[in-house]
Amino acid sequence: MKKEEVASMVDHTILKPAIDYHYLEAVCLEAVKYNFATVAIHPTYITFVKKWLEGSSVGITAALAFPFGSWSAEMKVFEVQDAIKKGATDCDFVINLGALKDKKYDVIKKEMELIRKACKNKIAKSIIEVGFLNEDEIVKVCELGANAGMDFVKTSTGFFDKPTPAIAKIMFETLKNTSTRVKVAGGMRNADDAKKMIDAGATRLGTSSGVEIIQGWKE
Amino acid sequence: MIDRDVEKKLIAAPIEPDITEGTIRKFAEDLNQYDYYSVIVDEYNIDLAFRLFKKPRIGLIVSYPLGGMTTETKVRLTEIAVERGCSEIDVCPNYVAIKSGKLKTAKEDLEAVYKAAKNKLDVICVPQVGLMTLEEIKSICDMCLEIGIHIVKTNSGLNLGKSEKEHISYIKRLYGDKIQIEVSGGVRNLNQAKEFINLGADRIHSSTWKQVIGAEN
Repeated sequence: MKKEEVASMVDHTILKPAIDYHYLEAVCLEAVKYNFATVAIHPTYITFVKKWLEGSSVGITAALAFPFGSWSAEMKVFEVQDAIKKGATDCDFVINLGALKDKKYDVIKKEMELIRKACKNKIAKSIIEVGFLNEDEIVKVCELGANAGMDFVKTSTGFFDKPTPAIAKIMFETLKNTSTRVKVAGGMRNADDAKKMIDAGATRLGTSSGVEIIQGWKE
Repeated sequence: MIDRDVEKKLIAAPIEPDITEGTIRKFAEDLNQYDYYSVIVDEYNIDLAFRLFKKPRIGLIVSYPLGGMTTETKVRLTEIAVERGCSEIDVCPNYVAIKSGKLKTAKEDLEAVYKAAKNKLDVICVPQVGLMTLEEIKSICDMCLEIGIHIVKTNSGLNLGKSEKEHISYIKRLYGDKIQIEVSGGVRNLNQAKEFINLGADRIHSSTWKQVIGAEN
């Protein structure tokens, strides 16, 4: 696989709170230089990063209902609409994991459907936080995501347990006959890590190590 | 032995990514045996918390713990807290703006939240002392007082740094009784809680709250 192709899968991610605007700017310039898919940030910085990405094809991923996801569907829709209004191209929202654990699938279904609608033609990614789920739950929530028309089901926020290639594979197998794809986030530090996830079926990589991944990639 | 003074100052929070109704129910059964101060939850669980916890002091987290939600989202959450009868909100300010010296941006954001609260509940600002320099902590506290916020909660957990004794002493020395201090982040047992209280902390927020009030060793 060509470096350019890998770069086009990267959501260049910066969600740490203790950084300054210069750091955010540098992340945006890297994203433009390497032609990453998006920069992934907290929504309040969308307005700021827009100017650094102007004229490029790099999108803006907003991390929403982040990182706990314990919000009503209405609150999530509010935040999605606000993020899109400000310029988000991708909406990565944390699902209501408690409801999933309680098998209240109607809660998950409702929030996914409402968010899908609110996202319109933007990219919608459901974050399922695999570190808290067993295999049955992962399969179930992937099915819910595909039924709701999610563009991606995403492994993790990156703030809790890291996903493994085996988990990415389970998600890929569950989703392979649907139009929903797998985004892996958390724990990828270099080209080897990224390759394992791509081999498992991931087509989007949420990472703060995008530059290291591309620099170390062997075509 | 339960320390009655610390017990009254206890803040507990059933907040986890995978928190279920059953977990919160169990949490409430345990906590309701004690004379705690308040309980903090996320938006989806406000109504459940009012049903399950014995005290009507329920707080809502706002842009917790990372501070990166937009002002509009923070305001909407604050309005919800007011509508549902919450007694407090724990709000994380725009840390990136503060780290960048853009204090006006950070203040406007926090002030919008304060206004949305309409004096109907306590607005508690989280300066995230584990990630901030002493100068930045002072900027945040000054900003709070200018806006009308008189309570800070030192940290928000999630491995974002610990509260050290020097942080409490520092805020206390600069502001005396003008700012109430809730200590959160790294308080694990009764001894630590007492140390913080002796330095001037008004309340203690901990996930190991049974150890903190002396109900368990």
